[in-house]
Amino acid sequence: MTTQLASTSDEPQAPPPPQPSPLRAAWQTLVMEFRKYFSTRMWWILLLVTLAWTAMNIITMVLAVHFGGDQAADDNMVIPKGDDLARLLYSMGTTFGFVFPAIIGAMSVAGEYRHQTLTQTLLADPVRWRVLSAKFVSTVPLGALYAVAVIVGCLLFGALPLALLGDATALGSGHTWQMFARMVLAMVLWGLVGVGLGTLINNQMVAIVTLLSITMFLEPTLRSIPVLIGHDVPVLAYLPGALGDAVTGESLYSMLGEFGVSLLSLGPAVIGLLVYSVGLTVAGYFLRFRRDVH
Amino acid sequence: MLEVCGLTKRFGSLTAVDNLSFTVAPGKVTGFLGPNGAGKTTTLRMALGLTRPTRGTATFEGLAYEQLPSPMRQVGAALEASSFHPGRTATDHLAMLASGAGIDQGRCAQVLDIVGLGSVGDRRVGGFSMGMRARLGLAVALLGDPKVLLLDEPTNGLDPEGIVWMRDLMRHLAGHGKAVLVSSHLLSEVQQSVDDVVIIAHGRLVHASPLADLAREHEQNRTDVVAADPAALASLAQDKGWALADGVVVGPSAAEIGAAAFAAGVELHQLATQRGGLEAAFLALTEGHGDIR
Repeated sequence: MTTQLASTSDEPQAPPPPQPSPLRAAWQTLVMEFRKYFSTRMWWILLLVTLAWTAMNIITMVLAVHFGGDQAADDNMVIPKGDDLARLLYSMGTTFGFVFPAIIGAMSVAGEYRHQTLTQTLLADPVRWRVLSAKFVSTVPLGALYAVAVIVGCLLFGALPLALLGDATALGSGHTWQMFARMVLAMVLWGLVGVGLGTLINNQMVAIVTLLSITMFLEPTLRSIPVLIGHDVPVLAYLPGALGDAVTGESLYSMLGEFGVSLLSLGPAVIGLLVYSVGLTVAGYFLRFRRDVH
Repeated sequence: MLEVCGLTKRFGSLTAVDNLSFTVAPGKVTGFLGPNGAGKTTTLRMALGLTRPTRGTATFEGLAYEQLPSPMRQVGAALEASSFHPGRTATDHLAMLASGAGIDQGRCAQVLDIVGLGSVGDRRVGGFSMGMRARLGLAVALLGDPKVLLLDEPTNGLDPEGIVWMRDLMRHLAGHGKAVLVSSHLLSEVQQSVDDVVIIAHGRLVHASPLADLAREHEQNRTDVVAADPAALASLAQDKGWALADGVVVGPSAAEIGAAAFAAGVELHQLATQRGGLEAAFLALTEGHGDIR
């Protein structure tokens, strides 16, 4: 043992290590966060879940629309036809799938509290705003990765069955591929919102439950108000889910026709979700992340 | 070298660390001692920038931890043994921190060998025993080959063989010019490996000196004495100027007491030298209100 230890020896008077440049230091921390993501199983388990969840939802919708479209048309709903219908179906990939990048983003911060790994992270880089920024930035490719899973799910379990059933797939249209690109953007932004949520709510489980209850219960309830009262409520377009739909450019709510919530255009919607993600992250930084770590 | 100066931490009305000052010198192992709850871990966390002091500073060569150009390569710390993601392998854990700290990746395998985990680097930490986690924590501390090491109860979870190994390691590190601070709630656990002791109680410094000085200060004999006639023993003690309380005589050796009792005709039924003078001194220093000095 003692012979091995010789490798730890250094001269007592050895000069202190050089200060890395600010860019170098930021890069190191970013690489640390990437390694964190890819050194546990969570990233690929969630990736498979994203694919399976997308597949299940899309195939169900394809079959429902193909075989049951006529009954639904009796209601107030406006069911688009042809390419528009195919695109609407694909857009549901993010309508249902947005939650996975948000979960992985929230876990990148809240997970550090859960497993008490924040201590060692901050020993490696004690500059807390840099650590949090690295978490924010490193979540971008993760969001894109989950978007790819969603799009693969849309193609395999949406476009393929549509083609087999003889319906329009819209894959020949540039507009469809543009929408896929916007879906990537939406998923990335949701990942960042997740980072903000996990920074503000350090209990991983509570953060995820909060996300789900806001986006899957509270927001759909609020967004049904225009249908009930018979006219548009513009402020509802600023809810996170509505912004996400606006980034994707299509929405299940467009089936509600003239009663649906009007969505923002792409630019303002991207800025809107960025404001949510940065706002939550900055608030979490000041209220939580700068606190004492025990 | 670590310099702690006037360090204070209050949690609400509780003062966990109270105006604490001490230094940890290079080339030495310093024992940081005190009962559980004395403020040892809080002090270490403040030194590492994890907890913000209410007052005072802790600096390494004049710089706070977060100001160090390359903190992990200047200061290594092993805090609680449970703070690993259970699903991450030991190697990946080290590789991740090495990236963040700008340390060569080749160092990960090296430190795993040093702490005796070379063969289990590919295993997930979730399956590690307490002892293995303690060793991995130490590997993290050694990762940057730092000049200062702060080890919080590093022997927790180690088997007796591991404790001996840890002692040798600390001596070896100090022998190579490192400043090593090792905290413990038991003096006896680190007695054989420390040069200096810093003893705290209730967040306050109660003693700081080379271990040898502490031993010398408290090398007075303590002897249990039982006499057939306690009153006769008491008057003998008074004549000789011995401190006698609760059947314990402090000062003279057992031989002196025996000789004097024989000469005075006091019948003794027991005459026994108390063991562990240093441990008794440690207990005396840390019990009560921490203001024994």
